[in-house]
Amino acid sequence: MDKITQKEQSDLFADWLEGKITDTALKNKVSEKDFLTNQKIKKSFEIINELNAPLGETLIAIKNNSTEKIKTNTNKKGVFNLYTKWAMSIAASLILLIGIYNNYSKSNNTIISSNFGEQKTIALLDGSEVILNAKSTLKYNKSDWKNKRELYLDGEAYFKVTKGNTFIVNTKNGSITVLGTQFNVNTKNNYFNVICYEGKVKVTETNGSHILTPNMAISTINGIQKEFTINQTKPEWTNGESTFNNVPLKFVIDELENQFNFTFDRSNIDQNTNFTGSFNNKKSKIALALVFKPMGINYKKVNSKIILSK
Amino acid sequence: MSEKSYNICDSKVFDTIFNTHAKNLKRFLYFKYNDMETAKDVMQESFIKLWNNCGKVEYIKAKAYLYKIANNAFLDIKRHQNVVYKHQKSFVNYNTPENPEFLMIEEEFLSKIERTIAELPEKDRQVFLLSRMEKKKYREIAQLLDISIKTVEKRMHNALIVIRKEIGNI
Repeated sequence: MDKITQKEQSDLFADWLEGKITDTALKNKVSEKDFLTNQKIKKSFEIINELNAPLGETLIAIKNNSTEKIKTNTNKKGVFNLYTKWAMSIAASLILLIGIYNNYSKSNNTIISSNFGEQKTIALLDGSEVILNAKSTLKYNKSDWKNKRELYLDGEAYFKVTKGNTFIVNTKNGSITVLGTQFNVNTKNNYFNVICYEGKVKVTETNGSHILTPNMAISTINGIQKEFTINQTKPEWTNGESTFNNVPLKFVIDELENQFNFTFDRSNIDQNTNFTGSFNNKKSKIALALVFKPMGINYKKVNSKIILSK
Repeated sequence: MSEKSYNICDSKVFDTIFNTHAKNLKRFLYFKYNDMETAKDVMQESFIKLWNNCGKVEYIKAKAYLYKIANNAFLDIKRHQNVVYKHQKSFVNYNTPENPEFLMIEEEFLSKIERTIAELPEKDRQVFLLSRMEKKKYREIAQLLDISIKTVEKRMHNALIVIRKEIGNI
């Protein structure tokens, strides 16, 4: 990167503040440190603005002594979040309890599925752990578990398997065999991705089988197979982040739908361009911007649908 | 000692207290939480408590009362967050450093920017404030001040050069 003068630096900064150039464009032109400073200054302007905002309305609200009203208005976010989180954890444990109950009573097939934007942690009988990502289903037979550690997965999950018998994960796209290890499986229509974090994993697909060692990953997208290496020790999504490495946009949009319960109109865009990047599963606005802005795609919310256009 | 005779329940007296302390309290809370929404909420809550208890609080103690309530609310929220955090430790991680939302602005940094803005030449500052704080378009500012858009742009850039230079030195 060439050194640029104060003047150019400020011109870029001004254009960026005005929204004439995007974050990425600015990032490419200035050093990382300068970009951070710019961001900080921009944020500071916003804060100064907020701190100096007139408070007339607040005063009226307080004076009207509509304590309740203000409480519900301002606290809604926090309280709501807390309760949903509680409700979610209660629901998860209830489902788990029901699952256990079912196993000891009649049905032997346990089905666990997660909803939009939800993550579930499941402890299996042998002490293995499964973390289920949003909109995924896991099926397994509990009574037979001691002889056969075998389960069926649709969606995405991260497995921490304790040592023991062979552990098999069956999916629509192929099966994964392991002894004791940690790995991530993502299987959706035409999309199959397995990442090994520890131990050895054997992936069997229609067109052959592969053995993965730690930090190796394999993906099959629309029939095209690729092997690559990764350097995380745990999938990003378990920290509430969805990460993609050269994945067609279609699957990224699918994931957005799963995480946030959106519906997209995709008729005007090319879904085959590859996307590399990640988004946070908590903030839908930022996620949309992170995915679509760099791809040069406009998004607009119309009714309950989000229309995408070039 | 006329101050003592002021009654907070008197609407005008309350207005004065609000106007003197609200912004400072909000600022104080902002740097405590590093979150504007919470700062606003707690500030509002504190004044509501003061208004509801106006008979019990002496005028000269109003400020201390407000800050005490705000601080208690802060501790409550932190304690609560701790519980939630422990409860969910296994799968939620809010801090994503690359996310601009989580940019931490220190009080010192903000004060420095404010000082720099205050020290800008009058004409540059006027344009800067209209543009950045009142979110006016260059065209509108030009009309308002009866100058050309080019001039607005030039003054704005001057202001930004000074700010960047000052801040860049940290």
